Amino acid sequence: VTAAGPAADHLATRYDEPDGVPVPPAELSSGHDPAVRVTDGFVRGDRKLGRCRTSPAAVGVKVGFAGPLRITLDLVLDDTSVAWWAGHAGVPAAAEQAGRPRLLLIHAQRRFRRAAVLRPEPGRRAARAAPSFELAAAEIPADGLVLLELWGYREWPAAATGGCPRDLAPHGAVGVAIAGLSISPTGPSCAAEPNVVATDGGLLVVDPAGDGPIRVTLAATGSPSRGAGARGPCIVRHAAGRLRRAFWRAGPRVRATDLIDGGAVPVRSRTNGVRHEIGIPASSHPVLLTFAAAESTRVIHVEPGFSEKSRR
Amino acid sequence: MPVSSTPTSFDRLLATASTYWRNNLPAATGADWVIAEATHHDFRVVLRTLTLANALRRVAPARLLVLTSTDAGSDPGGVRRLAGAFAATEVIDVRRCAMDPAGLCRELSPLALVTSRVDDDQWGPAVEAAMRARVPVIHVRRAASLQAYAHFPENGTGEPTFRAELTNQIGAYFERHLWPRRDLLASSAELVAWRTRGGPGRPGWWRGGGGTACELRTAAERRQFRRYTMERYGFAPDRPVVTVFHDAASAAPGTNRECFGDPAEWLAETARHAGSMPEVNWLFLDHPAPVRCDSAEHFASHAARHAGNPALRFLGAVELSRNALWSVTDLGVTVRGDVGYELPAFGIPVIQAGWSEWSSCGPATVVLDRDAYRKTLCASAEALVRGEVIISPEQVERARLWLWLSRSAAQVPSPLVPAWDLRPGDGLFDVIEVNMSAVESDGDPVFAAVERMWTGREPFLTRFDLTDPHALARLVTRTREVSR
Repeated sequence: VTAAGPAADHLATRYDEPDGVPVPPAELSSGHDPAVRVTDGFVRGDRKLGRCRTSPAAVGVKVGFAGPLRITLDLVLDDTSVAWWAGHAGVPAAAEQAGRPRLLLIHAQRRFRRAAVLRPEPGRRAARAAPSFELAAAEIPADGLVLLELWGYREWPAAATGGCPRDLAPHGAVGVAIAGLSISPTGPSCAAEPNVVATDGGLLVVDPAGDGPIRVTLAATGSPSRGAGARGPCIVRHAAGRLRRAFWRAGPRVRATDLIDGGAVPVRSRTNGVRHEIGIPASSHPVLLTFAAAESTRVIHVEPGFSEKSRR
Repeated sequence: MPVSSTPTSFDRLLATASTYWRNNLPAATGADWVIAEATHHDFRVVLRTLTLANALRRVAPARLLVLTSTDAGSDPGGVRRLAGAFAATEVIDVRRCAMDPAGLCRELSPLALVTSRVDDDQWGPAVEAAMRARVPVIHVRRAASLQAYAHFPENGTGEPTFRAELTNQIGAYFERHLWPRRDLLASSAELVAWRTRGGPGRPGWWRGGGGTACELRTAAERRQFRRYTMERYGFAPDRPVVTVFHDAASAAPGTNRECFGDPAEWLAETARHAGSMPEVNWLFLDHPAPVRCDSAEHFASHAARHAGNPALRFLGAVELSRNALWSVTDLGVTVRGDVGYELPAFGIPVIQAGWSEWSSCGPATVVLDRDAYRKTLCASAEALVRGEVIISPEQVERARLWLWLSRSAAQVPSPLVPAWDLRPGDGLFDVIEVNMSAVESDGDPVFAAVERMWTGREPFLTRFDLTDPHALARLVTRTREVSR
């Protein structure tokens, strides 16, 4: 009731033009495309959709399609992103923090959809991510406005209450570019693979598939150098991990936190020879795994597993 | 004053301006003076003041006394040379003069005082002294093209200050000549509203950077965007938002006919009321130029005092995009800011605790004493909680008609006064220089407009004769007329 806003449509004027809306499949690659209707903390670009100036930032696009949609963002973190970030943070600590990974929570229509991690690599090629999600027909309003929000994790309200990986950059969205946006009618679902990222604070299971439980498998190795090119499609070196030797005997004491609502996630863990498996129940939210205090400096490798269905 | 100019560019302008005004001003052989204030740090303001003073001297030949100052940011040397090129008779630095501006107005009894300042602590008294001495006062505004309000002694309504007088006079003009012709003007007013919504507006004008346009075009878009903004800034999502627009707390003491002693007192009392009304969200938005306008840091001290109250948020002027601000604001509160008509033009009601030039035209709810302020604030907040609409369609229409008047019909475009967006520097100097040397002066809109205002004793400059319905019908934009 109270959010009814201005009476009638006093925002409108007689000089408003009808919306120019793309009918999917469509690729938006300029911030000046008339389908990009409304922004917050976002600077429109000529040859990209634009760049986030604040964290969070929002971009509203109009779509001319009533059916379910798949939306895919092309996110880029490049040297300009880091420069913008340093300018925004404006503190001496910026240089040290600028290199930290950005965890982005992507919302659409006020609901969390996907997370993405981008790690700055100054002087090297840009880091990219392509979070993709579906919108049901009922989620698309009559005027076709789809409001996308990019929250840096540290700005997300639950970050204050739940676990927050210590080494994530604050102002996470600042400088991140949306190079393009693809809008397509929903086709066969491309199964998303969960993405596991190691941080100082633990393991981020960033983009759970959402359609089943996930198994994360931890494996011990002797030295970090052997990690590169090790088995599995998704090997992540937990370089800063400090887990106790006892970890492998008693199993790690692991705590799992839902990063969207800050709540605890019940996980099962099981030791299997030199491996340890952690089962995460089906969730569409990113999960942070943190391990009980560890004194050992032993470096381990982490091999993410997959949901039961797609396990190879 | 010439902030980023090569000497030659400014010098060329001075040479051309000298020739221009030598040929375009009648000889001032009598004893009459026009006094022009030229203390503003911005070249564009000084240019507007001197141009208007000279246009006036074409109607009423007089000598020109230009008053400069050594205030921070201004460049008396540059002003002195510019005034010389604009055929000033005398240029005086008021800080080195034995007599203050008020004394000069009494002593010289000039034909007119032309000034860009009417309510700071030096020029407020000068303007009031001129009014008491029955000297016409012309207030040049910081506007896109040339805009000025004028007080003529014969139009006086007995109010003590320039602003209070103008509130009455502009309101009467609006009611008599424009409101009855609102249907004729509606299309043009809609066009100005469309341009205002998509542009930086005022005071957003000062903000620069991104996020200065309102891109929201419908109530549905606003509702959707609002839910994001409420979470972003931590407002209770199911409660209305009252936005309090901080004003110049340290400048301009006691010159408005406020219901409070000054804007600082208004802010303190508003924060106190807000603290006792937690059923709505309160957003206190700082002035866009706090360093100049709130040197005593009133805003920061209130923010600290209410830091523990989740219903009160204190944010800087540029912390919210205009989309965000307009999506959450259900009621604006100001002492006299431009939001007093800008928000109502788009359906957001405003309570104004005092007068400003437009307040008699009816876009906002004006309260005239503290008790009425408290009661209106409470009643409005309660009505919003009940989900009631507290702005009338007529207020919206009046706000859009004022937008049209202040941004279009009461601004005079001329080759002599390039648009404000052309910033001081070689580019601007070159444009004025070229216009003065390449465009003949007969019938220049500034000369015609000043002549019409002066002879008709009208309260503001007009682009054409707005009292003539036939002129209105012929000259305004009518590309989106609808019958009703």
